[in-house]
Amino acid sequence: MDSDQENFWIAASQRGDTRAFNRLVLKWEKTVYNVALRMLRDREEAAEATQEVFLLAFRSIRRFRRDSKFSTWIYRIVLNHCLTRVKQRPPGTHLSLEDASAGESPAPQLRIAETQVSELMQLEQRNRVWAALSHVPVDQQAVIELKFFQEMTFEEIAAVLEVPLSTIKSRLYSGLEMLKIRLGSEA
Amino acid sequence: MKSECSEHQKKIAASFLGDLTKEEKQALEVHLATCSLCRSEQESYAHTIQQLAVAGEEDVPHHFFIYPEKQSFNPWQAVLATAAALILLFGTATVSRLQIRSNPSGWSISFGRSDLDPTALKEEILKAAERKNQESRAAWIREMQTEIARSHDSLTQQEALQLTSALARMDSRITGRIADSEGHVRNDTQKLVSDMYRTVAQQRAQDLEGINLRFDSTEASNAIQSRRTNEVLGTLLEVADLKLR
Repeated sequence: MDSDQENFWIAASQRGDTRAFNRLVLKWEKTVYNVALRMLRDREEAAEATQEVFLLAFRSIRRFRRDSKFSTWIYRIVLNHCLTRVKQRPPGTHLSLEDASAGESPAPQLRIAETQVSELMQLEQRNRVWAALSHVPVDQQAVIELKFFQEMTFEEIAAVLEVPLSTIKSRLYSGLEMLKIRLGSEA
Repeated sequence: MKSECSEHQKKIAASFLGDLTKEEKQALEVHLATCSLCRSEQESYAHTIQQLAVAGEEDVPHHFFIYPEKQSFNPWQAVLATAAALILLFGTATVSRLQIRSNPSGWSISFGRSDLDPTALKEEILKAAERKNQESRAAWIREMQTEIARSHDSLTQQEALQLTSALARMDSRITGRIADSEGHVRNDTQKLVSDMYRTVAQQRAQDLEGINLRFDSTEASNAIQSRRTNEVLGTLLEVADLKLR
């Protein structure tokens, strides 16, 4: 994506142009939605959170300083929003995509008939990963999200989450260790 | 597990995160070549990270566009909207045949007349101008009267009499001048109209004379032509008669 184009949309959005902001939404919605989905592991809640994130972003875009990266800013908003949502959940709430989709999905035989095998395998893989993520503390999940799914450096992660580099590394090592226990045993 | 392995296993995760120096990485590789336990640990991390990578992403269920928020009611906006509507109404009335008139019983609105009478329209415009003129004159007189009354309050009786007398004289003079001017204008207009009439009459007489002359010359040429024709015919008859003999 042309960063000049993105800067143009940001500048127009800062003047209150919703159409320009919706160009940014179109570019970022899949990323934001998937971050929310991995953090919240509930499709409806992830969609709701994504909409709220873009509303929050539009309302505060005038405060965005263009000498920093828009990606850093939007990741900060979505992760903080998801962390708040998770922390507001009643104690003992445990959600995973397997649980969330169990009630509404059709029978496995029918799904196999309707979808490609490779797609089904990817869905299973995704569910396994997200189930493993659900056992990782939410602060560590945020770091794993930025490191492995958004492929950021330690410095960039520290900038998004506004915490020291040492804390980022500590959370990352602990989170990866927990994921290895869940996912690495099949190797 | 050896204590050496414990140290290396901490570095296995770091190697996947790109958090090792070149020397540390080389030392780890040397150890992994000889230690199956640490190699198994390395494979577990590799498998974990691979599974994260292949998990992929889902498409969005719908777009998350935002829309401008509705504005709250603003009384000034209502006033402005009403003013704009009135301007639009009168604008439309100007360009269309819609007529909005004031009459003694109130306002009336009609959608034009079926036929437009220019004479009546002209008269109406003149009447409206006259009415406006009268109103202005009446307003000026009222203003002057008010001013005079105010002056009376601050003048002595004698000064007031002098002023009234002066105003009366001035009024008389102005009236006389207006009458003179009207007389001059009337005379000038009559003279102008007479001159115009005379000029037009002279022009008309000249035109008639010219036309008569043209008729006369045409008549004369026709007579000459007719005489020549008769002469030719007479000659032909004589020749025919001689041949018959």
